[in-house]
Amino acid sequence: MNNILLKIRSYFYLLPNIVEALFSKPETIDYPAVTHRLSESYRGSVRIIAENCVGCGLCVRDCPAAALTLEKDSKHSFRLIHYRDQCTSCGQCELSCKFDSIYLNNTYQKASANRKDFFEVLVDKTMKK
Amino acid sequence: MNLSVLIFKIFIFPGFLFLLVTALFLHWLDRKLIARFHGRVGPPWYQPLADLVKLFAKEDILPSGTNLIFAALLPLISFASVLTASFYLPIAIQSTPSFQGDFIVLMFLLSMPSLMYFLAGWVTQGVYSVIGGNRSLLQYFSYEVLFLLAMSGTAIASGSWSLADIRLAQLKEGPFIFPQVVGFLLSLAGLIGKLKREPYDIPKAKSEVIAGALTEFSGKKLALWYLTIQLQTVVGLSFLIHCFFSGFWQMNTIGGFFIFFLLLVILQGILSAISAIYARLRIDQLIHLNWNIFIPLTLLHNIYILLI
Repeated sequence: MNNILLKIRSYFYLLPNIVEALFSKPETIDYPAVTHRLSESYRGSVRIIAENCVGCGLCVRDCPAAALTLEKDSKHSFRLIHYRDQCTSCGQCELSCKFDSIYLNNTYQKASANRKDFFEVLVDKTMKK
Repeated sequence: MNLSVLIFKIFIFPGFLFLLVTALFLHWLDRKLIARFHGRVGPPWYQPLADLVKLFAKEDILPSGTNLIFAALLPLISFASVLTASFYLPIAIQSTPSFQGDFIVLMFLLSMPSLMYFLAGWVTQGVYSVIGGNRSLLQYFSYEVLFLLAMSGTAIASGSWSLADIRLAQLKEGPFIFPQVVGFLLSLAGLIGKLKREPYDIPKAKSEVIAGALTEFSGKKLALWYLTIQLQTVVGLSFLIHCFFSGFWQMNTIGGFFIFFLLLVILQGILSAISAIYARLRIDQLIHLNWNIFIPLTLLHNIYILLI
């Protein structure tokens, strides 16, 4: 008898949930106007502390998505470029960096149709000729 | 009857335009309610109309090797049969000519789209279409029997296969919903199968067969298919309301119309809640549920009606 009651209850156990959902606020957010609240450890955009960067190229070597390139003229003249469309936010560059320069924060890039938004010059230490 | 009144009745109220607006409204209500049950926002009120207009404007493509005449005829036939069914049914409490056996005619006309759905899968020749069509035919034999047997409880109680007599019997003895709650719930289950809604949505299971028999359809033909299914919802629900609730009102009254519309909205809400709560059944579960539980229950129910 108890088993049958449990079985009948199992057919209706989602009913309270949908009634609750019907009378509560929707979970959907008004996206471009309101952004998601993300945890501190969320891996989003790639940022850099340009003063720390020495242009060693470890991040470029280790990036599995080949999203970083280093244009090096001499030891102290280089440009580090990040291609956002290739980046998978894996965080390998942060792990590889020996100078605490490159890191990922918990913001993210909004979708764009503009070609210029797909890459970003992170460090520009080219010597002026 | 005056010709202009007849044209008004056929094309505007309670004919085509009223049905179309009600169908789009119920479709919106369905999507909105399911979204709210999921904790989402849901579409704005004009979304079903916008979808329909968009589909009518889109290019109409079919895979090569498709029988084009059949592919064009099938949605038209199912649309026409649902519309024809609506003319036999006192939708929105407007009295219609009734004859002995129109109950069976209505049953037949309402089951036409399911057959056309199977053929649609067959003629478009896609893998998913053929599987979806076959699945719909497999399901057809279990829910159609259930729907007919459960609905025939009202015919047994009134002693006639005519919709007008079913209503007259209800006016005398009170609405059939009270003695026949079980029959009503079982016919609702049958109707869910007919409309291919969850948990009977095996023929159009998205994760398995994309859109079932309609996978290869696009543009106007797909719009017509969607419109047919939406109209079928209105006509099917009106059929249920007529057979189980029509003792509550007199014909051609405004009060009766409001009760009718309220019942339509409530029943659509129940369908949406069922869609949100239950997952899709497996084919063997469906066959087991219908043939081993629901149909014997319906037979017992009909014997009980005969005895009282």
